[in-house]
Formats: sequence, structure tokens, C-alpha cells
Amino acid sequence: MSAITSLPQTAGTSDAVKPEKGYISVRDFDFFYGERQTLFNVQMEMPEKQVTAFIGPSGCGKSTLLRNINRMNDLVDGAYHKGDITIGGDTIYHPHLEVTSLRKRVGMVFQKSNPFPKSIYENVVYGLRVAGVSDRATLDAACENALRGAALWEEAKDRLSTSALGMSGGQQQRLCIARAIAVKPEVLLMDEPCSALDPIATGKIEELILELKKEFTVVIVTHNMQQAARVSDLTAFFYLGKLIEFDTTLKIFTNPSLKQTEDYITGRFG
Amino acid sequence: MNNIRHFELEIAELKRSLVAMGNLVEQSLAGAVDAILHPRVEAREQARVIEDRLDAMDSAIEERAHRIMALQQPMISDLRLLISALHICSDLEQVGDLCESVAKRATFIAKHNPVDNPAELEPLGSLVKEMIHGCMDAFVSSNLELAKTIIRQEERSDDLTKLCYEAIQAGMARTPDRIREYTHLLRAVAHLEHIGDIAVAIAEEAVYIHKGQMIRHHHEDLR
Repeated sequence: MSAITSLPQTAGTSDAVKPEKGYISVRDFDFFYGERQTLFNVQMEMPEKQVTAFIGPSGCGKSTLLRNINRMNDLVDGAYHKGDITIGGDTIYHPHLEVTSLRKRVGMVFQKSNPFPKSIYENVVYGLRVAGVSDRATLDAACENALRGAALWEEAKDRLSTSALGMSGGQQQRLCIARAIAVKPEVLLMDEPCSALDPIATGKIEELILELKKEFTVVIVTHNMQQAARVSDLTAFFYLGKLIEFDTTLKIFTNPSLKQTEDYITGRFG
Repeated sequence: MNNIRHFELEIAELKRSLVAMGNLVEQSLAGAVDAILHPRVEAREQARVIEDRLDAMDSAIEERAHRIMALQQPMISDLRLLISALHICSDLEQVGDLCESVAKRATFIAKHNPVDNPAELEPLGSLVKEMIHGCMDAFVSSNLELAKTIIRQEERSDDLTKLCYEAIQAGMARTPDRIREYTHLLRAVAHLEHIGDIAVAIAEEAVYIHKGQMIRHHHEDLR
């Protein structure tokens, strides 16, 4: 196999199609912070083991929707929703569902890396320890797998017992990805994961995202249009709490159906 | 916002340069067609002077387009415009080369023996001039209907070319001592036909810019 054909697929070469039924389904979804409605009747079907990017100007609701996928808005005073979100056919709002069990299925990586003030090793296995795993061999294997999965093993294997806070910003972000995937979630949510990183570290995370989608369903919020174009299979454009256009990334970035989408991507508004 | 304003100015300037290049190409084509219809010795030198200017414009436009791409990172229809601008610029430069070659052949004929021009040579010259003018108009004014008209004119250009070839072959048979002159005329006709094909390619670019639809080799997709 040639070097070219062995490269991971990027949006431009992806055969992504907009699915009728997705792994993550958002149906008739409204969201409110008290009196203020921030999402309006969102309908989306996000496919399994592909990358979906949310784009739109600040305050358009993209992060709010992302955070809803693992119910991070539950703790916000006065926040409530209408409609439903399902993952693999299961509603995330089932009255008997423990949020912690949802979080095992849905990992999240934030804008700013947030390693715990612990060793690299303890950061990675943190979720497993919380889940009650204590067998050292199991934890060791999980740690190595997660660090390899986050493309960090070679850089971290000789310093696992050192503080995670001694790592560079890019390494810390990949550590957070390792921590998120160590518990083997089905979905990985990323909220502007590269906005605090330099171009080299950003490139590594983007390469990683293309690898991660082989195992995980990835949803990423980004303000970087080129990044959305490079890493995602589908792109959703939000504006003022509404999903304006949702289609394959190739379509959105070459010939979107709506002028509003083109005007945003080309920097003419927003 | 300031950045977008600057970008719009860059794009406008690029289009203006392409239009200027298109106008010069039309001038060169008019001279070449006239020269082959009425051969004259000075035709080649006149075409060469224009060709030098076209080469300089080609380099300047290409440089500007590359700079905009590298620094402004255009997307969607802006990117299509830039890609097409590079194609059109190269197409126009090629038309300039062909015009110079037509003029060169007119000069050769003027210096040697006269030939009988085919009756279809003048209509062919008029048609390709109309096609070059029309395709640039379609590009500048986003006129899709005009672009489609130009694309449909290719058939007429092919028919006229074929008739010219037949008349030239008859001339060669009639006056074998002037085969060299007729061969130059034959090449000039082939160049004019090629210029018509290039006008079609530019019209296809106009469709691509405005619809995002690549119809090169797929005219059946043109609706």
C-alpha cells in the first residue's frame, strides 16, 4: 500500500453522507436558560464513528448543544430543555438514568486542558478508579492503551509517575483526550480543543481526531473553519440558536445550499 | 470587517486585470483574423507586441491570485473564483499565442503567393471573435445564459472549420505550387478553431464560478 493510500481520510476524501438515522439523534430540541431560549427546535442525526463539526458565531448555541449531549447543563440554575437526545437509540434524559453512567458513554474534552494535579498515570486511569477498577495490571494496560490512542505514549511512557502539570499545553490536551478515552466511551465531545494550542500541537490533535473516529463518534465545536473542513465528515452551521444548515463537510465547504452559511464561512458576517 | 473589505478590493482588482487582459486578447484576435483574411507583412510584428504585453499580464495576474490564496485563504465561491481566474488567465495567454501564430502565417502568405480564402473563413473569424467576447462577458457579468450560448457555439465553429479544410484541400489540388501557403492557411484555421474551444473552456469556468458545477467534459449536465 502506498503512503498516500494509507493516510487517514480527511473531509475532502471522505465518502460521508448525511444519514437518515444517526448514532446521536437530536429531536425537536429546545433549550432554555431560565426565560432565555438558546436553542430552537434542533433536529440532527449524527453518524456513528464519524466526526461532526458544529460551527457558528459566538452565542449561536453550538456549545450549549454539545454540552447537552452529556447533560452538562443539568447543574445550571433554571436551565431546562424540551425534546430529546438519544445515543445509540437510548434517551439520555431517561428518568432512571444516572448521569455518571451517561458520562461513561460520553467523554468530553474542553477548550483549555484541565489535567488533575496528579501524575500522568493517575490522570489517565482516574475514570477507571472512579468506576471501581483497582487491579494494577488492568489499570496499566488501560493507561498504555489510552495514551497510545491519544498519540502520547512515546512521549509519556518514561515519565508516567511525574506530574501532568509539567507537560506542554499540547501534551496536556492529549492527556485529557487519553483520560476521556480510557473509560472507552462511545462518543467523544470536543469543545474547541485546539483554541489554546500552537499550530504544531493543533496539527497533532487534528491527526488524532482522524484516528479517534475509527473507534469513537466525535462531535467537535470549533471556530476554526479550516479545522472543521480538515477533520470533520459532517458540518452543522448554527446561528442565533437555530440549526441553519447541516450537511456533509464537502458540501458545506464547497457549495453550501444557503447564502447565510457561505457568508459565515467566508467571514462576511459573524 | 476591514479585512473583508480589503479582500473584496483584492478580488475586484483581480477581476479588473482579467478583463483588461481579455480586452487585449480581443484586440489581438481582431488583428489576427483581419491579417489572415487580408495578408500583410507587418501582421506578425504587431501581434508580437501585444503578445509581450499579454505575457506580462499573465504573470502579474497569476502572482496576485497566488498571493490572495496564500494570505486570505478564500473559501467556497471566493476559492472557485481564484481557481478559475488562474485557468482563465492561462487560457487567455494561450489565445494570445495562437493569435501571434495566425499573424505569423498571414505574414508568410503575404511574403509569398496569394491563396484563395475559403468562403467560410470570414464567418469563422467572426464567430470566434464573438465567442471570446461572449465568454469574458459571461465571466464578468455572471451571465449563465450567455455562457451556455458560447458553449453551444462550439458545434458551429467545428462545422465552419471543416468546410474551411475542404476548401483549402481543393485549393491545394488546384494550385500545387502553393501548397506551402495553403498549409499555413490550414494551420491558421486550426488555430481559430482552437481559440473557439478555449472560449468554451472560459464559458465553462463562468458556470463553475457561479454554480459550483464543473461541466468540463460534461455538457449534458448543463441545465
